[in-house]
Amino acid sequence: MSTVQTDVSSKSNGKRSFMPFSPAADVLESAEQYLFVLDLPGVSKDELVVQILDGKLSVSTEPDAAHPEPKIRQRRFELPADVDAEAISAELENGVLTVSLTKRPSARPRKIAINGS
Amino acid sequence: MLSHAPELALYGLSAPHTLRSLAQLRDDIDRFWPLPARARAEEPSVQPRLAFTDTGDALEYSVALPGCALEQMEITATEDSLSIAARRDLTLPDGFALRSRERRAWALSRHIDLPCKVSADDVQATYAQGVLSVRLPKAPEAKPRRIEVRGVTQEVAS
Repeated sequence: MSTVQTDVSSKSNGKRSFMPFSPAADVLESAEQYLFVLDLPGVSKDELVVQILDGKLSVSTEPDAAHPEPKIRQRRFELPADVDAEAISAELENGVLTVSLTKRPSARPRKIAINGS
Repeated sequence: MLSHAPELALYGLSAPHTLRSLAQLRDDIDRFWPLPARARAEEPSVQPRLAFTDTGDALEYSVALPGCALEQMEITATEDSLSIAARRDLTLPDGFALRSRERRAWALSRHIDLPCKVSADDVQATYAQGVLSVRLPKAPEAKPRRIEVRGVTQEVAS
């Protein structure tokens, strides 16, 4: 059966027409952590590559036989200076990637007790 | 409906005076502008794009809705229409402040007149990897049928 491909909206290249794209990203900060949050709809865990490259956080997809062109445009983020590059974790849920970076303990704000007389 | 002032408050920013004035203006508009027209005007500028495929036996629609909670989606189908309503709110986890923002909260509301009749009872919707897919099997009378071509033997005049 041949497959008819059109789009309800005006522009389309095919069925999965939302790719490739430059994923939108939010950067969040708390006292202990940074979160890099990216919208990656239709991207599976297996094809996603999250790495620290040349001191930058890099998010990209690995091309495969089905997708010779990368699904997303690579995003690179300057790492904040107070980040512990070893303490990094990433989670992909409902098409949203959250990369957690932990601040170095020495960089965290500390409350200094004031000794009064 | 998107409301911008509470969203700003959510991210720990104070709404400037001009925003309060805008909210006041909107309240004034609300009183005499009919609701359907207003809903159209408040649609986000970047609408999630809907892809459509006709597989022969079924119609398939898919749309990228990353980070959408299942309870924030509502899909209804009749034998000749499909409605998709979904929204995403961006909330900050406790203790976090926003350093930079590109992602958007949005509200999607689409009503589609289907190109053929479907079996509304058998419509399936799945949400995987942030992509919503709706499959609507065609009604029996709308499915393509293979038509047998019969040869007609011509009588040869003697």
